[in-house]
Amino acid sequence: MGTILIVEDDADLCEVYRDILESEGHNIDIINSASKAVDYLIRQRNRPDVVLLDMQLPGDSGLIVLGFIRRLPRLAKTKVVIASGYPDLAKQAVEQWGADLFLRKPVPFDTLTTTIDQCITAGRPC
Amino acid sequence: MPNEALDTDTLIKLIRTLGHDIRGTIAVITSTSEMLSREMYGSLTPGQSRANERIQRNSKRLVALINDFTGYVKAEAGQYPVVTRAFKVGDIFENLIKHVQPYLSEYECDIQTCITDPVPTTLCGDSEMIEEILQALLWNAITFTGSGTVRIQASWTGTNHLTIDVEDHGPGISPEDQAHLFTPFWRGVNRPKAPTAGAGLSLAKARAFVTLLNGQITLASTGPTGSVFRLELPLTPVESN
Repeated sequence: MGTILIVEDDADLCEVYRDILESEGHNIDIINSASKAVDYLIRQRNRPDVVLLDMQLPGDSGLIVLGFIRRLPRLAKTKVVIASGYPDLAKQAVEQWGADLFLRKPVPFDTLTTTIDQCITAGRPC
Repeated sequence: MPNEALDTDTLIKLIRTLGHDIRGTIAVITSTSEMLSREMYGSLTPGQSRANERIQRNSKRLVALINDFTGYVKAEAGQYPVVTRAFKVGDIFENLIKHVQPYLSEYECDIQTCITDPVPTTLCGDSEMIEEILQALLWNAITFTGSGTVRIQASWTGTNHLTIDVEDHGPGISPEDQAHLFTPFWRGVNRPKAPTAGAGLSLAKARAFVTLLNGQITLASTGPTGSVFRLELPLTPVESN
């Protein structure tokens, strides 16, 4: 069980992610813009285990959130999973900008739950 | 006054945005339908289950269609990025089997893979594009074979040519259809009636990808007991230490 921050502006998709991940026992927080996500990460004392991040957000792009997480030592163990309908951008975020994984929308149920579980396991001390 | 014709870059950008928005919308439909089938919102009657299966099946077709369409248009416009990395042919075959396995229950189809000895263990090329090309050929072979065996065989020619044959046991391809195999949206006379049959874009996309990789895709043979599609690609072997 872990804490997942979902950064996604599609309200229906947020509800889908919430239902799937809560059914697996995770704690979910949902933010719908990059600036609000950065604000959340500054204020939140406990780091999320995983940030499930959309790239195309209103205002600033998801890359702002990714860059912020990668610069903050406190969030070094937070895994960033890009979920995007732009597969080439998402791939670039992993290969060039330090995201851990990317998922191509639509993300199948099992792929989402397995990926999140693997990220939580990898981010925690043995 | 009508606007001037849209230039290629603008059209590609529009198609890319459309693809993104459609994928986002389908993501909600497929996931909600998957949660219904897992009875996360309560049990379903047999009729509701069948209706939900139709939603899932057609959502998957729509995803495949939009992926093929955006991939085809970008590749034809020379705007599909080719990313070279080290890969193993065996890993690609393994991913292909994983990709089709969940859907094989709809067919009585057996898939056999074979890599002949001289194929170098590690090669350098765009493995993701190669996998997408082979996915198209494999789906084509499965849907035309229905019940039977599909074989995928890799071999190595000269110093830098990988050849992959995909052999089906379908009814063969008529001379008229042979001329249009890679024409977008062409539907052949022996088109299978399977509900997963595509829109006629996957082979067009496969050929556009192969062209970007400086390779060839051909119909090597066809007859009443099956056909063989051949993919030939120039690739560099990676020296092992």
